[in-house]
Amino acid sequence: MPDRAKGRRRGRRAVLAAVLAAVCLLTAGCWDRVEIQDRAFVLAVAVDVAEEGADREPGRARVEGYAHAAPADRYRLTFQVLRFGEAKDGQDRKGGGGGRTFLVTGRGPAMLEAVRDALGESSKGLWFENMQVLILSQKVAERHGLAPLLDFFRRDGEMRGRAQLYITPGEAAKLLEIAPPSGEPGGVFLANVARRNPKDIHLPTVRTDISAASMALDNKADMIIPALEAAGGTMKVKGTALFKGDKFLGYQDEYFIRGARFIRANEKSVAISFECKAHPGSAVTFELFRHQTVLTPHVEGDRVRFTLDIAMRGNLDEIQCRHQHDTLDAEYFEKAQKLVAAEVERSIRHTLAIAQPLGWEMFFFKQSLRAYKPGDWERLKDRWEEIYPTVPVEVKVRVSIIGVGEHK
Amino acid sequence: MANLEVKTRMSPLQLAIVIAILMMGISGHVMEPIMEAGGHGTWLAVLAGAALFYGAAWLMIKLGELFPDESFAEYLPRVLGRWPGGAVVWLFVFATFLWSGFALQGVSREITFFMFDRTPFEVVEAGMLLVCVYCCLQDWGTILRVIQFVFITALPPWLFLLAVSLLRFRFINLLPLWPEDAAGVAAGALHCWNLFQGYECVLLLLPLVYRGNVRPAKAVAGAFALATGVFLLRVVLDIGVLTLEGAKNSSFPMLTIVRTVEIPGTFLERLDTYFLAFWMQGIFASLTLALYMMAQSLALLYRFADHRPFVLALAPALFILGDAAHHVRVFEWLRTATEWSGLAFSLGVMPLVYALVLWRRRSRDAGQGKGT
Repeated sequence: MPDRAKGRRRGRRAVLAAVLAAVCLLTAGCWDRVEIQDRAFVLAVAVDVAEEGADREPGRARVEGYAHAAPADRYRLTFQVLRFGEAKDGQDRKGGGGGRTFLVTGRGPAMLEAVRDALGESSKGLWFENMQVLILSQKVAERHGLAPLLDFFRRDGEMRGRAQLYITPGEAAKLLEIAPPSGEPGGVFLANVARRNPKDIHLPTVRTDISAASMALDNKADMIIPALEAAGGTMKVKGTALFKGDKFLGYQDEYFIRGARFIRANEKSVAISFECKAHPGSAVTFELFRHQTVLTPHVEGDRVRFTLDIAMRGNLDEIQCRHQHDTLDAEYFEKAQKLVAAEVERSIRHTLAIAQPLGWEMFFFKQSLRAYKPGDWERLKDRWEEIYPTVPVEVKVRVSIIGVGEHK
Repeated sequence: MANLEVKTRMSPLQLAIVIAILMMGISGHVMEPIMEAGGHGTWLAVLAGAALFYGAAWLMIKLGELFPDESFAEYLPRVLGRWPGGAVVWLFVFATFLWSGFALQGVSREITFFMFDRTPFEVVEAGMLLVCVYCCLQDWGTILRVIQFVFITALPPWLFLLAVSLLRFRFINLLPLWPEDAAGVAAGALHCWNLFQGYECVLLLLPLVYRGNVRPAKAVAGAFALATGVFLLRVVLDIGVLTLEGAKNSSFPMLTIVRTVEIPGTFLERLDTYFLAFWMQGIFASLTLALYMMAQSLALLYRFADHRPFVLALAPALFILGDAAHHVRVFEWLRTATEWSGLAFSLGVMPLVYALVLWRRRSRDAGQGKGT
């Protein structure tokens, strides 16, 4: 009997030891863990056409790319990688951010191939989970269209949909060499320009990240990508590029963006200036606080029209006239409200006058027709492309000035 | 008040928790066919599916109430005959086995795609299965406590993280709410079986439920209501954030919408990782319950005193099934097979069994009436 108990105890110990050994296999660490210092954290990616940029640096053209069968190289990808440790000056390959980043470049017939090519000059695997920005050159967008350019970034598990998209008329890689004055790495700087300035109506950076572009591509919808330009050692978001589906249409300026954002009502605070009638040449500025837009589709037979009811609230923020106005005077108030409304309407008309002939639409016209008049949409959807350029839009703007600031 | 010391009994509320966890834990890769069929009417399809499958669950409860203190694995062989009764139990085990394998592969896909991209599916599956088997080797009382713990600790943060994607929500994406294709909504409702699977456990667990103030049918309705609410939230968020086309094209829409969000002003980034961590607990709970359901059904059918030998026998088979579906096309096929087997069991076989049992009882009662 005691022998049997001893045997049982031994058996239990053996089982316990085996279980503990098995548990060790699972708890000793991740199967594929990589230490943080062994990863190359990519902050920004610039996409250019394959033949662009390599000749700017001696020797680059010879080492970039790799031997492979057809198809030929399409893309040149430049990766801005975060440097761990102390920032350095005078890097062999500049990466902006005061030496806090460096660049590696790869070329290939597809994005992943270009990533693999770049690994030849990186001692660490490129890691995209922290990618902040994707910059496309105009040339690459024109040549290949947006869908092939974004496919890798939509499909790969490491990519973040929140990464901001930009386009530049010149070479995209050049922008990654610029050190922002704030000392931030370039990728972080550009992402923050988009994220932290949603109020600014000049910037077309609301919902212009990879996930928004992906949704637009899924829905065969038009989209915008903010344009980025290098200027005197720094870079600036300047206007926007329009895409019809994935096809590049061209650039538009801030005044166009302003009208588009009034229609989409996605701005939070805007300064709207108009000319004082009593003092020509002097601007009066209204600061918008609240904005509501109601877009209503109307269909009568085959005729479609839209009404855009806009209600705005805000303060008189600045008056440039040299003579004092009585800003609390009812007549002045009424006039000012009408002038702000007229300026908003002019801005919207300007945008529509450009967008409609181009057949470019990102104003929820199609969406609201499908949403609120599904029967009519089914009937008209095949002819939408011919209907849209001439569709009448009735704009009604109501402005309420609710304050004049600290001084009358 | 339920006696919590008795490990072989449970309260109606606990039954509701078990069913809710079963439904919600394993619902990762099942939305796409519903959206494909239902379009913008997916929300209606989910509601119709909830009504349809609650009807099936209600029928199972009614059947169970005809045989108090017995599970279906005990009374079916007696009522239908040894082989037909056994076949029904085996169909239940088969359907549960398929969706467990599907869920095991599904979770390993999510984890390897979003968290451990170089880890083979097999390693994730083996790890998950090992934990489930360990839990399932306990007695029912312990399993129940674990399920309750997961329900209380993992579900609220999981829901919170899901709801955070409201920050990217756009109502117009949901419109039109009323679909013109009623047939699509009806087809979508049938596809909802993969959402609501798991309610069949009432066939097994009903004898364990205390008969108190809350009737089991009411408790099961509560579980359906909770799960339907969560599924509707998912539909609204998937479509409202990604648009219908975007949601249909996404392999992992639920995680994708969580990924699109960034909470301003906090140090919390990569919300999808937290979301996945809480969801894994739900899947662990669901898989444990599924394993228990299969093992216990077979133990009762073959008159074993204990479910444990069947747990150990089923686990390798489940691993093989889960791993066999590592090819994306096989995985899609498994989803379809799971759906068909579940529909056949819930809407085909069980209503027939119930009708047969009722008919026999009425015939017997009529015969007895004549005899007197």
